[in-house]
Amino acid sequence: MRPPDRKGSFSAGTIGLVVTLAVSLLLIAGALLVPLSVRNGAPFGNQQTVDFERGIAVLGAEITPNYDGMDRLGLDLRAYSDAVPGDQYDFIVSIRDIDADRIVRSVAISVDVAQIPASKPPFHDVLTDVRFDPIPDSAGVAYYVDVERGPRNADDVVALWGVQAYSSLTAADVMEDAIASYDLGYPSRTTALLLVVLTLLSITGAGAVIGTTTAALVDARWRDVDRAG
Amino acid sequence: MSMAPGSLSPTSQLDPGAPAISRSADRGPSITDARSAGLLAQFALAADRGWLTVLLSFFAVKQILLVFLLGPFSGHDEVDHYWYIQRLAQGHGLGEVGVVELPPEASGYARYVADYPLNSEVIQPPLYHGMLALVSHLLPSDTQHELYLLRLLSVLGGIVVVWLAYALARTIFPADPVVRIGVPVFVALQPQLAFEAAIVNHDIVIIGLATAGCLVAVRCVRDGLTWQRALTMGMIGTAGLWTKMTFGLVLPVFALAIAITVWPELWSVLQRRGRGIAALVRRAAPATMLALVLPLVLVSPWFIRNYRLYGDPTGATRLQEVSDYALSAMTLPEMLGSPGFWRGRLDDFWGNYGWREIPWDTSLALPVYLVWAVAGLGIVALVVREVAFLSSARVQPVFDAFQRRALALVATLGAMMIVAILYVGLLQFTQSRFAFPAMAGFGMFTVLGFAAWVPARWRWVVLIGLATALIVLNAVVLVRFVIPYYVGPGGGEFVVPPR
Repeated sequence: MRPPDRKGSFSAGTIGLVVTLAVSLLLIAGALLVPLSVRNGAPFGNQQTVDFERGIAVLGAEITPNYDGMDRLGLDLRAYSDAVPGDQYDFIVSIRDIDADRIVRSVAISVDVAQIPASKPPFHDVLTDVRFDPIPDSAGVAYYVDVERGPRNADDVVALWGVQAYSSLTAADVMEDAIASYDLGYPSRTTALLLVVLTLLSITGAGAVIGTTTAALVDARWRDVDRAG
Repeated sequence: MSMAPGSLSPTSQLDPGAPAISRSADRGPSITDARSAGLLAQFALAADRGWLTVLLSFFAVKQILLVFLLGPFSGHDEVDHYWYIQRLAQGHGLGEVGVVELPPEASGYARYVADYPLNSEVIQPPLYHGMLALVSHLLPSDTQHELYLLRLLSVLGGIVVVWLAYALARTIFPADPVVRIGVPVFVALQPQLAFEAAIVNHDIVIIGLATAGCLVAVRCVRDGLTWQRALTMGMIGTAGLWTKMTFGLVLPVFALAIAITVWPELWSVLQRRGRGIAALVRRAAPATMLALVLPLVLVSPWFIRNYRLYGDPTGATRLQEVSDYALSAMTLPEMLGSPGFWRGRLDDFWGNYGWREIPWDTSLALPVYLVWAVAGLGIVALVVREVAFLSSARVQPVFDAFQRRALALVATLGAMMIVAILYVGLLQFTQSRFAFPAMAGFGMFTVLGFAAWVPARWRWVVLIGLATALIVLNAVVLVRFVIPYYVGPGGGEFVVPPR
């Protein structure tokens, strides 16, 4: 004989349906409202900092953001010195619009040498965050990121291994841009329709997975309680 | 779970309603236990049909989205695999590594080729590529559209893998909904398995065959060794070897399953100093021939071809000669003792998309690894408890004898796949995807590891939390890293084939 499906006034199916709707709505709200720090997509995540014409490493890199509102850089800085943890390194990071030949942001940072070790430990995040006011209309603009040592570290050896650039965007912003940019080989309206429908189905599907599995687990839990009682 | 209360005993103590398991269970599942487990599994399937259908449908939809979001040919070795299929479809034969070159239309994707202009994937046995060559005749000739349609076949393979992961979990833990649900959910939402199931590559077929093989092996242990099951293992082994040579590392799982099923007789023979060995051989030999020898015999034409062409049965020597792969090779001590090597393997396991050019940020990766480590510690705790049970009457076991043996098979598959990673590392640059044939096992140990830390009545809450976290992780990774790589001037490339 099957045990009763209800516990109080709710059935497991009702709980599953409510959870499905709640999770789907939360995912949609999150996609529309919650900004994520989106990486401006360079291969390996990094712009390399080598001047190939001169064959030397330099304390700078050219970046071209994908998106407007670039507001963060991740610098892979390495210090080659006898400094000990606690010693501070000072830097001035400037971002120059190459075509306009104009510095658009300049940020002073001070970093503990433990954050920028010469030898990168495998399980350590060595990126140094540099945050600044968002640069409007940054998409497609070529910038040169220049890192200058402060006066007390002027003679220290520091290398810049890579630069990552970020913009704060919602998932909806990113998908909207993808829908406009992707060339799937179909007419653009078909591509847009395809990506929108699949995205919406994925979101509601995710909600339904959480909803139905919650219902199944709650149902099983109630049966255990019934069996024990 | 929908079984009628009191009608059957659950076999797992992970289930809060399960009775304590006697020490005599350690000697092996009785016929009643095995039948109970089988019947429970049938009941479980009926109860799980609803959420499983939703999970498989969701997996299909998000994978189709991924098929279109991943730039053409940016899957690992996708260029080589695609034009290997085209080569067979056009009747140009199998070809020889170091001689076969990619066609001129592949030049736009040279950055996604390990050894351009050579097609190194013609080293692979041709079952997957031959089957897709047949399908290719039915598809449009436009390269991009054909690629998408071939990728959709990988999505189908992924659906089968998720279902097999569920079947494996249901077979071992029929009475535990947390494991039955948790394992396929983990596999469906594991980001890099999703990547494998959205590109043209034979790995998803190998993952499916290995999971199916493990399932049959577990059923042998549960229900007994029969001709049909031995033959099924043999056929799976044959198909696997004709798809990728590393499938040979799955065969020890079949051998272990046979050894477990004949263990009482083997133990008796050992105790009687060899008396009865003939009867044991008569019982075990046919199954061994079917499950282990038959695949090697049936794949021998490929071994012989390789030996004649390259001087060794796998062709690895030639691959090293014609490329600089060997420069990335490491010794075993170097690999085992290098934290950087293991960090790289974790990165591979969780998030290295698009020809390894789309890694996660460390700030996202490290918390994921730390959370996963909690499950790892849970597994250590479970192993300690099981060992304590075997050596002390005062400790209650978590698993019954059948589950212990089945988990030993699953763990053996995982261990063999880690051997595959290390073996490839001895020859060339290695990657964690060589361990993905054991993905259902990784999912099972992850769920069991987390469950070990949580009181039984709260496990379902933790599982829902983890499933939600995995869904959010997949979405965040796509939005923060993957899509931006293919879009806009600062990204990688979304190269469209010329028309």
